[in-house]
Amino acid sequence: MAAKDSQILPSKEQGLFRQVVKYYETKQYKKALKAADQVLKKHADHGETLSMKGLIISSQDSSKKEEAYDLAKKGIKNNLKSHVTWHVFGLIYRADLNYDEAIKCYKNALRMDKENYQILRDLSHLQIQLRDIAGFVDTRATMLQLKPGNKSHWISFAIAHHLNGSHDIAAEALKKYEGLQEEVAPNEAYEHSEMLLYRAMVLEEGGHFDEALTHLDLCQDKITDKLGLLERRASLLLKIPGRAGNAEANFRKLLALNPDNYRYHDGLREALQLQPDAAGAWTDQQRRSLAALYDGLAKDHPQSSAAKRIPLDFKEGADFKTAADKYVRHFLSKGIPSLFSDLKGFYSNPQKHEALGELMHAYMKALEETGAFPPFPGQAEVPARDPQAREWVLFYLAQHHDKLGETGEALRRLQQCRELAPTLPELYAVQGRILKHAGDPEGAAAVACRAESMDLADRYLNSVAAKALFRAGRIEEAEAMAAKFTKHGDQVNSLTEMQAMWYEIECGHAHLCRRAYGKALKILLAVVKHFDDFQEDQFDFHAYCVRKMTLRAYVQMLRMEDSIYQNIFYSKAAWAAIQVYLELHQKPTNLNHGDDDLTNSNLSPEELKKLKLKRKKEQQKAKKEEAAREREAEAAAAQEREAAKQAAKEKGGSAKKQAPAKEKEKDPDPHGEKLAQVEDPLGEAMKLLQRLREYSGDRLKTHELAFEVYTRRKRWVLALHAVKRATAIAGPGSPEAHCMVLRFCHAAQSQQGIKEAQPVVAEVVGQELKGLLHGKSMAQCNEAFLEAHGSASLAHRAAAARMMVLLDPGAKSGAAKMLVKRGGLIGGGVAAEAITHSEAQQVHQLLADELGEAQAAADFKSKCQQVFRWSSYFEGPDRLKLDSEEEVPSEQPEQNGSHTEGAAKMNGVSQAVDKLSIH
Amino acid sequence: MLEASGKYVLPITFHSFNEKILEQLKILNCAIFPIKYPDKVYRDCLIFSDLTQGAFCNDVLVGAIAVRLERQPGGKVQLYIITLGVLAAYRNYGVGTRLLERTLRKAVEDPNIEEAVLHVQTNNEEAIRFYGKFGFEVSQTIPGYYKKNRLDPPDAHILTKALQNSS
Repeated sequence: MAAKDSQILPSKEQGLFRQVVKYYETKQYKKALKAADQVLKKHADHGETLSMKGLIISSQDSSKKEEAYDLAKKGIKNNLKSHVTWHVFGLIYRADLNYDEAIKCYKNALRMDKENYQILRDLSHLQIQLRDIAGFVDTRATMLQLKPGNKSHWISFAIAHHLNGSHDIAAEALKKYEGLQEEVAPNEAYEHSEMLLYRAMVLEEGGHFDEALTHLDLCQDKITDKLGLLERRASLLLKIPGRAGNAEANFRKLLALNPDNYRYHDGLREALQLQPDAAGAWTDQQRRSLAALYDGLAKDHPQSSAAKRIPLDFKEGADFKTAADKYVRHFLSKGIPSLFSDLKGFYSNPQKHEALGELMHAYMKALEETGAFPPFPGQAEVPARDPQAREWVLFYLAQHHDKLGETGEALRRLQQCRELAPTLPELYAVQGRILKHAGDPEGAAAVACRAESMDLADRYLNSVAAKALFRAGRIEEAEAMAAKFTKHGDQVNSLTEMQAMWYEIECGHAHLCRRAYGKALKILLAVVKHFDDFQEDQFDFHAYCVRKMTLRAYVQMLRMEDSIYQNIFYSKAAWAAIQVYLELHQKPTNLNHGDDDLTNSNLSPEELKKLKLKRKKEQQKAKKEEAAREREAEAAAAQEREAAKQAAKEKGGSAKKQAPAKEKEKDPDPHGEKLAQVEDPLGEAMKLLQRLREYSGDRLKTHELAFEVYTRRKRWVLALHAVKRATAIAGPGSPEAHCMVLRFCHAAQSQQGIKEAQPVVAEVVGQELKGLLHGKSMAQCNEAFLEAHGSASLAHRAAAARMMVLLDPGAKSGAAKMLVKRGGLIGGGVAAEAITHSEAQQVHQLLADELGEAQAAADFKSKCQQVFRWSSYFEGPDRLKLDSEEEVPSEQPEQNGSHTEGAAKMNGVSQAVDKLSIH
Repeated sequence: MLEASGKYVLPITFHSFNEKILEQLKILNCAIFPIKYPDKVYRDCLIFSDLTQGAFCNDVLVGAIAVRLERQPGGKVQLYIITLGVLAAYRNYGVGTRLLERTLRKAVEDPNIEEAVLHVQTNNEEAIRFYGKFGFEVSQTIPGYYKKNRLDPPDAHILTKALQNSS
């Protein structure tokens, strides 16, 4: 190590060093670097300067990380005792998002200089970012002790204790802060008001409801957010015993301000003790009170939709029907397309959906006979004629029947609607949804594209079409569709930048279906990355929110971030990525050819050939387009660079800052080929599972995938945990849980080596096995399951059949017989058992592939053709046929090649659509 | 909505088309007329967006008038009505009348537009009567005009209405 003296600079260089720091802080990196080099010319070993140089380089150009780390390390080596070298090293780690190492460095720096304000501040930000709450409290306490006169330190100190659960200390600190504030300047009134409301929040969360209320009452004049004040008061009164009456009055006041805020409605009902019990049921007495309450509210607030909608939740039977009658007519005569999605929730209740169906049919009858809605029950007055309502009743009925699985009836209603109003784009969007449910993704995509063509400015229709195209496996067209709304038509990057996660997940799934694993991983892992970005995005707010005093929002934001990985988009993306890794693990050689899904599908050789040819053409086209796009992008980038240079020349120094941000790094692996060549796919899957199990542990799919991964890895205890969690979620009688239990027992028992290798594990697993099987053998267990649940559904029998074969590979034909015969699956074109298309598809795959019972599979298929007439999988008679495009020409002699591009593409499809709708 | 007379009036709004929703006009006309017009016809009528108008009931297109201006020898211009149609369920509410009146009113404001012209199948008495109310008269009959559209009868009247009374 260098002698200590060499670390003390002569005064001239000291001045230079101060300049280095100053330039760095004002982001004048070039000047800073120059000054640093000047120091180093004479004092090449000066640690702090070396470190600063590293920091400057890392801020200047993130690709030179290595060099930056080297310099910073050299700096520390030359001057271990300097807080600067350690602080700088931490800053470089922090810029590199390596927070744990950064914290270590900051702490080392603080050892050299205990009271360095800057380092303490940086440390505290990292601690709250990583939710090291205890550390955050310590750091904030130190900072407050150092500068108790700085008011903002009291705020941060309060936040730390609030998050740490010490509400009393937090409230006290805020009071102290209030005391320090002598007079509130008018331009700080808002900040002060936020602080006061934050204090009420802290008191409320600490359980001091009375005190919080008194606090609000005392300073109500200083609170500028009057609505927030009223809301807080109402919610506090609710929590104070004996003040329910005041709470009611407060919530009624709030409802007068906004009668459609559901939280106010919830509060009012809570104040009146009209909350349902844990199972969501009300007593009769409660129902009567609720009815009276809402009669009154509807009268007081005739414009409020909520006052009319909420009674549908608690009313039953005839009352429900009367209330629904009042509610839906407005939607039907105003032509509001969202009515069905508003009422969709009631379809789990047969009584309610029947009532809705009856209402609609009654409307239809009256509208056809008189052109007007029927009079309300008990009223003589006939409503005015309403020529448009018929369309919307039919539009609703189509969705109603679709929800009940009655595809034919749904499409018939839609066709009637179309005869009245063929110009309604939503009609085709709904038709697409019906066809999707009926198992015809191609038809669904065709009509969704039709809807889109009718209003090119409607992004909702555009998204619906893109999604339908993905579902139909037409990835390139889906991308082109979505690109209509993106900048420069660069859909993939643009939508990833915009974090359009529904799009990315659909795209990932479509690639997964094509077995283009690299592309699938690329886009699915991008979604996972978005969530890391959301976490990272918090960072700026730690300082900003305290400065702006938006404390309530800040704490809410922190809590939202704490649970952000629970978001369903995260789960969906991670699940699909794990699925990819599982498939990669199964067949590591089978990479990225996109069309091997075709060999497995049940198409005839000619069809296959045609389809392959088509796909090949598509791919070639896509390649060409891509090359063209790349050229364009390069040209554009070059232009941009030129422009930036120009701007830099004109503006001097200021433009330089922007230049590096604009220059995007080129993706070295745009198609994810490297991702698909991962050496240990199960290892990658396990990394994803870790977070899923923590945040998505209440979702069955997480544990199904966990089970799959852990059994392949022979991690028995973890697999066992997955079995248990899945059983808890799905219930012990569920097909999913049953399969997992038996598969686990089967795998664990056949695992010979486990006893010698991991005696403890073997013992635990052995004990658990007995419990899982209830002391029975596996075969007995399966028998018992079949006995108890076999008549519940086809899915239950499919699970039992699967397990029969697992336990005895010779039992295939027996399993197939049991599966099909019991319960008389489907007969005479009517589903004896209500099953969805995807369930039927799974059963067919089970029969055809796993059981290898070709005859049984063929029989099942022909039965399914009767029920799922629109299914492309079952080749139903009414499905959209692939070669319908070739039937198109010869018609329309007048349209001699004058199509726009869109129309030309749509032509084949629209012909097919016309055929689709006539049943 | 009720008029003073007690007759129901549809809540109709009128506005022009743009290329984003042009497809709706095509679909509307396909549902109403036996003739399929080439795309070029539709693109052309977009140019005269204040004269080509749609009638929307709660945002649903229920009727439309599609026109183009044609330059005549001598520098004058004629307003050619390509289609004027209302969906069956919305007829007899005066939508067609309002569409035609609006367009004619606007056309009159332009002194260069001398007359309004359209073709109608010779047996379409309803249409001839309708246009008659607005002062359209048969000025000529063209035998076989609709032959390529395979309509029967294939003959067309030309209905004309002078727009500038000053001359």
